[in-house]
Amino acid sequence: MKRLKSLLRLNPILVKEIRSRMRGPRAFITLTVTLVLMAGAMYGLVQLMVAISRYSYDVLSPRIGQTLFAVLAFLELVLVCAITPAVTAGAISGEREKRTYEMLQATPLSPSSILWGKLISALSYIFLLLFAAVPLASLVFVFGGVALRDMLKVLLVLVVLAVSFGMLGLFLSALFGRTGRATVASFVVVLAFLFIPLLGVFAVAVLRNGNGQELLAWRWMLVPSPISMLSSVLQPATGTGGISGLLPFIGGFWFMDSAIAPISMTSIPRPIYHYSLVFYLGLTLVLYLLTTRLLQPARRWRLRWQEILLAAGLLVGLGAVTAGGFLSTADRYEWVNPPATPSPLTTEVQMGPVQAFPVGTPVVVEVTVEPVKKFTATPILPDEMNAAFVGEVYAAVARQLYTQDHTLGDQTPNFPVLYLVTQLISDPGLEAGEGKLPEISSPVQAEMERRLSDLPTEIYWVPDALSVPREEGTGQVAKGGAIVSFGLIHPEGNGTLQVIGTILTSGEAGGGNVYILSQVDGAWQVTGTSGQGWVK
Amino acid sequence: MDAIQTRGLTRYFGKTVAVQDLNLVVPQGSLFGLIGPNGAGKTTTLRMLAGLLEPSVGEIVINGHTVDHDWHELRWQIGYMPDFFDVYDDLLVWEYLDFFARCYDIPNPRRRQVVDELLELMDLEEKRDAYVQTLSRGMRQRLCLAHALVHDPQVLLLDEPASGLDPRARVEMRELLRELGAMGKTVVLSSHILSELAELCDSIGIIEKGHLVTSGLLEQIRQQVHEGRRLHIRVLSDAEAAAVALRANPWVGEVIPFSDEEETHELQVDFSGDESAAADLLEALVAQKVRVASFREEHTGLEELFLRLTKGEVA
Repeated sequence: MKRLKSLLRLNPILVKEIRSRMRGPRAFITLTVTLVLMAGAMYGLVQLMVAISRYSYDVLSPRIGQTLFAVLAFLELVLVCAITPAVTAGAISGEREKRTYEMLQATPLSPSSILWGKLISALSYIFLLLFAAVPLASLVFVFGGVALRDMLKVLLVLVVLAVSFGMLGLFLSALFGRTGRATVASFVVVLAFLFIPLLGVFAVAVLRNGNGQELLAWRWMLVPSPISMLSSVLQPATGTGGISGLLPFIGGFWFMDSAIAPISMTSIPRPIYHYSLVFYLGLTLVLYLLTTRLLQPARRWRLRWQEILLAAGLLVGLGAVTAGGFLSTADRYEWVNPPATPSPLTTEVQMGPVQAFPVGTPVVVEVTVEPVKKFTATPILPDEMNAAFVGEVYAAVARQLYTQDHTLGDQTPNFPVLYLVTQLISDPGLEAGEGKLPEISSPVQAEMERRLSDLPTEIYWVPDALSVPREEGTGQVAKGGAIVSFGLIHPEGNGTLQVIGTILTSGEAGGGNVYILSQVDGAWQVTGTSGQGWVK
Repeated sequence: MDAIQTRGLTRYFGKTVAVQDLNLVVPQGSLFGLIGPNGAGKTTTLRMLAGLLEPSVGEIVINGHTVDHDWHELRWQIGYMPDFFDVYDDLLVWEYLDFFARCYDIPNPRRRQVVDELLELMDLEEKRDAYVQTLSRGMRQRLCLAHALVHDPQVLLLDEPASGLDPRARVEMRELLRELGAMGKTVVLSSHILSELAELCDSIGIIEKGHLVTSGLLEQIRQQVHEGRRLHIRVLSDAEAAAVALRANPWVGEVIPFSDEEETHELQVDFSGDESAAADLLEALVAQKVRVASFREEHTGLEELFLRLTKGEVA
């Protein structure tokens, strides 16, 4: 009961540090300088992007937002790496140098209380600096293009890094006992974390002549690097091209380019930051346990059984969190859509070269991730079956895309024109370079037109997406229309069909999915998706 | 019951011995002065008593608890003031005491009361809202003493509480300590100046080069030092008559005559009188026509140390 009470009361160190931290001009000067520098950087960037947008139709509003977001995230990373060691490295050695530490040790305050007080007070200052930059982050929303989910991921990464580096500073502070040495050591270690993994991978790439398959095996080297960590978070949130084209490489997304690193259809490598989060949480925990020992005035390594139990509990807790995280995300990475019952028809298929959506826009890259998926039977080519069946299936998919999955939220789409592409999208069911893809034949076209005649839209057939007329300058599909493309029909042993369908309204906006169709009352209808949809 | 008891307390720093085989007994409620020249091991001893330093060998028992096992409980019973310390910057005087009161888990209405009481006891009420770093040396010393009293400990360990203070502040500190003694607390304080402790303490321990030379009640030690005095007297003739004359003196104990081939004789005399008694003794000898060639005092180690400490020459 007493223990519980002392857990609930305010940590004395925290109270003391917070009382004295903001006195004197130093804290305010740091805050002001940081904000002015960040605001300056953001302003310059906006001006640059707006200037570029006058000459390039590629620079759209979301692109500006995404770039701003990425730059802001890296600025805050610099802030965390530069300020955290400076604030924490003196926290314990400072008390030792001032000889106030003995007085503290003579009180019943436990080493873990001292540690928590110091850590939280240092972090509260760093978080103040981070959150003071939130108004700058709101600039991102003016331009759009960044999902809230991505922002939260970046925030999670920054918070974990701040806690880890804070703990590192405290550990070195307790270890060296001198502020000067502890500060230098903290910066050296943080810089080593930042750059040595990148240099290591660079060295491997040069020595091994940049073989993608081989590089993929060296991916683990990037795990401790905060730069790779942040890049792997940001990579899906930003477009390709320009500087952001580097992000996949720094972030260890080498498997993205399937030509150099063909991967198994049943697993996608996890983003680096998943591993990094576990790495840094583990590091923090180990440093925490070591530092509480270093803070003992005497009898450092004489452990009491409660302490051993607590340490074991914390390690088991971390293990449990890691395992939970793994299990809840594994079906997106390691266990991509495992077949319910292994069937003799199962064939391992390898992804072919990128050829998916021949529009010539960045969206193409997105599609290549999605078809990673196992089909359990050979696909049906549109001219192999009777036109009525194929037309019925494709019409159901087109209806689903037009009415439900048009990516415009809850709005009624109201596309006045629908361009249906006769050329099918490549998918894993086809051997790489098998020749020209099949097209939707005219009997099938006629069947689809008949079935879709109730939709309030005009339907045109186009040979490919490139031949669809576009608005001058914006890249929007002309007349506010949308382009719909289909993949092959895959019968799945259990009576259902799987078909890839995509919809595109401009160079940037679009969506797609692997649709599952079943027979309901004798008619084929979309009854679900394989869960691997993409929206741009 | 003894408040503090150490058995064979020894501490090495590398190969140097800071404290060796220290057997200290401090009775409950006493004001105990630990005295010795700088580097004698006073601070090391106090830090070990405060549980901040682990003894290499030996055991410490405070109020019936061994420091080794019951350290967590003992911290509630011990107040410690280090010899040299700095204060936290940018903290107010009352916040400083409030911080330590929080460390001892004192809940709020009581905490405010404790802080106010201590400020009053230390005569620092006017400085309540001053920044700690603006205080004078004497005030800081008093504030530091106050911090050690926040939890009303039974045992106070004060390392050189009067060092660096001007005479006036020294008197104030002495009054404070006397007050604490009157409150029934066991106070152990260290100094390298005996005169400073002599007026305050009821018992002392003299420590040199890590050894406890002697310890006990102040009066006993004073006597012990004087009793240990030994005179060497060389007479040119009639040593027998001189010995008779010496034995007549009330301060003289045993007289051991040394004679050699020549006519000179040396007498070794145990003497418990003070300096003027010694002068009287010499006068009496001369009056008896004893030809005194040399009259000198043999200095024992303890005495020499005591004299140096008493005069405050050790620095």
